[in-house]
Amino acid sequence: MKNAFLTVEAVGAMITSGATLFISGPEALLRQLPRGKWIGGTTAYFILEDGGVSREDRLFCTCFDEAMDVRTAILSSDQLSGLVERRYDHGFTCVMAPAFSGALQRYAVEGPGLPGLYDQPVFGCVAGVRLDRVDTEMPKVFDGAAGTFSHDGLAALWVELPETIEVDLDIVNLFTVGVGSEFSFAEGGFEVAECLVDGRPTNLARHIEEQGLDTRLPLVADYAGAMINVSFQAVDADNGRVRFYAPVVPGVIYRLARPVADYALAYVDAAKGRSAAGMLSCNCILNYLYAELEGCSTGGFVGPVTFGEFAYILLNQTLSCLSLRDVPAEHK
Amino acid sequence: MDIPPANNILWSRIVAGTSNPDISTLATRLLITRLRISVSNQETNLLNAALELHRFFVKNKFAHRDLSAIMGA
Repeated sequence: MKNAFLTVEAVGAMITSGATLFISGPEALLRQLPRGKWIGGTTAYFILEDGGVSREDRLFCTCFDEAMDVRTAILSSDQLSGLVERRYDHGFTCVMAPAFSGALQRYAVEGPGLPGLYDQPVFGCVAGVRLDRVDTEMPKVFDGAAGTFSHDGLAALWVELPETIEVDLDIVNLFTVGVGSEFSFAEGGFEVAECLVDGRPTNLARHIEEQGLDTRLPLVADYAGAMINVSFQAVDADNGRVRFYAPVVPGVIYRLARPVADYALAYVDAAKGRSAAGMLSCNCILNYLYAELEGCSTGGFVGPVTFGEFAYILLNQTLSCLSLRDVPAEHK
Repeated sequence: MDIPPANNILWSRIVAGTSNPDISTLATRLLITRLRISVSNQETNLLNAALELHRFFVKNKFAHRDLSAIMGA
């Protein structure tokens, strides 16, 4: 598996040579690519080895040399179970879903309950657009084999691997559970009005305004040791509504995250013991913005900066990272 | 290391949240939490959730790195 930041011509040549690719970049470039074994999604932001950058003349692509066979598709909201059903016996799945799409919203809510989801890695990101074009452009995903694209479906790349290669899928979340109030929700979803704050019924939007909470910090929940974020999209105190970039889940206890003092340093710490440059990682546009990652390196983690990430489930303000490695001799 | 049988109470204790082993694998952490939420919201019962967690360990070799934590919890 190799990462590269290339011109559209160079990526086209790789596709024509038969490479299996996961590609991120501007829509105008993705539209020029030939048919082949790839899926793609729109973004204009990237983290490279020397730091974050916004470019419209390059594509970030990851080539999976290890692939024995691949399948691609764009799944509609009603076809998401196909994500699990169409995978190979040994391999992994890469996904891309357009921000704000029906497929993304449905996967975020129903995906975590797909039978067998956690048996095999599902890695990916949420396609976005330049932040100054959110109101004029739609994020899109591409199925390179079919030569199609969509603003509402979920693109999937199923990769079959030899038994001698195993996949490692993990997350780096710089946020930890803070010490403030507990938030819980009787009803889940991307938009809420009421919640329980330390067990008391409360309007969340008004509580945030009254308490002056910093909504650049996500809500964080402890998933058996994994810190899982839900990020704030908008707080409308006048109408008492809060909108999130991922759904809150009933039965889960959240707290506002503890602030991160130095993002860049925290990524360097997180990268210790890992060969970050050999991984494909997706980082969140909110981290890019709030942590001012443009021009700032992140411990060697490289990849697209997107409007959300997948590591089995939809994540916010989290770095998801995928790597392939030889199966250790003792496990063969 | 042998996987404890499906009827071993440790599986039920984990999905009930009364046992909290120190799990290292992301997939296992997410599955355990998913099962706990399902039990808590009465979308499934404790027995079925425990069976699902056991099935996951039987099927997936990568999860076995957490077996000692599961059995020691």
